[in-house]
Amino acid sequence: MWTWIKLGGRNLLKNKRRSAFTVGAVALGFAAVNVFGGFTAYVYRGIEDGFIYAHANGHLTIFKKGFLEEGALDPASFLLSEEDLARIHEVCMEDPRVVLATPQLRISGMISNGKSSVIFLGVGRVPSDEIAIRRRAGGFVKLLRPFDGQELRDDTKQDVSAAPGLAEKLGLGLGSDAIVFAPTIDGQMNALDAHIVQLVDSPDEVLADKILIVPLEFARSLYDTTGADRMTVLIEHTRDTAAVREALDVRLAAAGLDVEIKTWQELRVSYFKIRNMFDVIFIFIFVIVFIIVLLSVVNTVGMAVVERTREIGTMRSLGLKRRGVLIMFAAESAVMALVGCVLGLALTLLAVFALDLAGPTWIPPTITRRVPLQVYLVPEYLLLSLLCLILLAMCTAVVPARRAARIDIVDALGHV
Amino acid sequence: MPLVKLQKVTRRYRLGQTSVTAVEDVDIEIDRGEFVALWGPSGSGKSTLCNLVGCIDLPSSGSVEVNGRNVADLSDDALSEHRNLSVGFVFQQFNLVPVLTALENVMLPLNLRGVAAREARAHAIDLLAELGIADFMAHRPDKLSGGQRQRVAIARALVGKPALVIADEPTANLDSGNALRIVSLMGQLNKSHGTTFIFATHDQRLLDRVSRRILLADGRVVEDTTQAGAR
Repeated sequence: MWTWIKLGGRNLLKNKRRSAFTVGAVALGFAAVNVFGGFTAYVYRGIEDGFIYAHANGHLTIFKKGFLEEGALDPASFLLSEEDLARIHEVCMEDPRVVLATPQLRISGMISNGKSSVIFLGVGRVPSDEIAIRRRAGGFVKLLRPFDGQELRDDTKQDVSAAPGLAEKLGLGLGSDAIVFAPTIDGQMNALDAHIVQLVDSPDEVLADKILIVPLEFARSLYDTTGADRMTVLIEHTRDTAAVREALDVRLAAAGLDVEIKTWQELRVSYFKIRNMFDVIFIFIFVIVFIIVLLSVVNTVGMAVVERTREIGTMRSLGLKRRGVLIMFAAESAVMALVGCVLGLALTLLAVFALDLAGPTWIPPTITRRVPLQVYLVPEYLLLSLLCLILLAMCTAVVPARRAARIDIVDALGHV
Repeated sequence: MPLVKLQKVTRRYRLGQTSVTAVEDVDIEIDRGEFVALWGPSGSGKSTLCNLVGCIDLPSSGSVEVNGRNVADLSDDALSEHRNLSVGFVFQQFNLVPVLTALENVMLPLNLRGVAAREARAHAIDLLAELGIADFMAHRPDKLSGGQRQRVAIARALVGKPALVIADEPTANLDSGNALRIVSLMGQLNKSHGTTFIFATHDQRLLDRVSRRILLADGRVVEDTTQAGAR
């Protein structure tokens, strides 16, 4: 095989211009696929981290069974009691992969400035747990501060955070006071004073004038309960999400808890929509690259076959089998693709470096603030595109090489 | 058993709508160690006969037997193996691989055979030294003279220790001095290695040195003579 690789390399150098065209096509294709792939990885990471960390939803959420289907109509029946929450917390924390388990309570009602009121959709969280979750973010989300104002605190129950749109509707701002109304779980109307200390980014545009984030104790007081409707679980590594869910499912059932677990992907439905969209674009780019590489290799190998017909005849007369002719041209194409991929890797690194240096910013999906535009280097994509392009080049070379292998030896030796 | 046996061999080619008979009803037997020239005017069928004996072409009718095996019964892979193991070719145009050095060209048949690189290299260097061109082994063909290229081609033909070397007009592209050196070199190799040589030629210098001359005309054998004291 070394003989064919050596022969391939030298023939590449012999026809520099033609080889340069094909190597360039492979290099640009490799760079295009990996720069776009790296960009999509960055976007996916942003969506993941935005949901899991920036908006403090964690990797897993534990509900009382049936909550997601019927909880909206009968929230009281589907609340997790204080005892349930304590047992769930205990079971979760037994798994070494779990970093944190914290209760949350979704609330809804009206918020008023004293003159007018609007509907809000809120969530009650333990402020210190929310901060702990946010601090574990990686990538650009780590740099993101998704609010203006100050952090909510465990010891100041009345301090709340409102979406800017919600505050604007009521003419409120940082430092303003408001009144929050909601029915308790028993159906009695309840009202609490609130002090806006934070204006928080909404994960979705439709919620930009509805979100209210309050300390868990505030939400519990408003609903007059000691329970919560969910337990948010943060784990060490996102890749372990499915495994931890499986393990917790078994353990929680064994503990006699009638609960169900949802992963962050199941709750963040738009993640897959965005991902599918980028995947389609990625496939589109890959197909274009595929066609360009295919045509370049067919052209290069086809011309090499014509130019080297006599050489093929000589090799065949020396004992090279037909299969050997295929291997010879496939190896030559593989060398060409490998050189192209190495060049493509250099182009990809250059693009990533240039982007880091230029530091452009943008507002990605599900995030409302400008963040640095980045392209990640994804080893899996790099390796996969390297293998795909080499395999593609080798397979493509087989078409003209088959023609070469079938050339009559006597005719080939007489070829001028 | 003769090394090569041709019985009633005919080879026809199609040239457009017409059929051309290059060789017709040829019966030849060649034994091991012979130093044979096929000669005759252009178009007499010398090269076609070389191709048939070298198993790079098959007869339209009749049989070509090498070591008692009819080559028509062999698959393409088996023919390739046979050529690699038992036949060496020397071409008029040398036909060296341009991107390989002289040494790498000589190693090529052994590479195809799967011989370990170190062993192939040692054999090739020995042979290049024997042919007096060891100093040029790192040169590519375009940096060699015609005579040097033909020596490399001869080394390549001999490196696999084939029973038979077929040389089609080996001196046609060489000047007089180089032609004489190549002819005497092949004579020596025939003696020292016991290799059978079959030439297609009309070079009188070569014809004077062969032990057997087969004259062809219009694709038929017209004369088959042996001459003592040649080489």
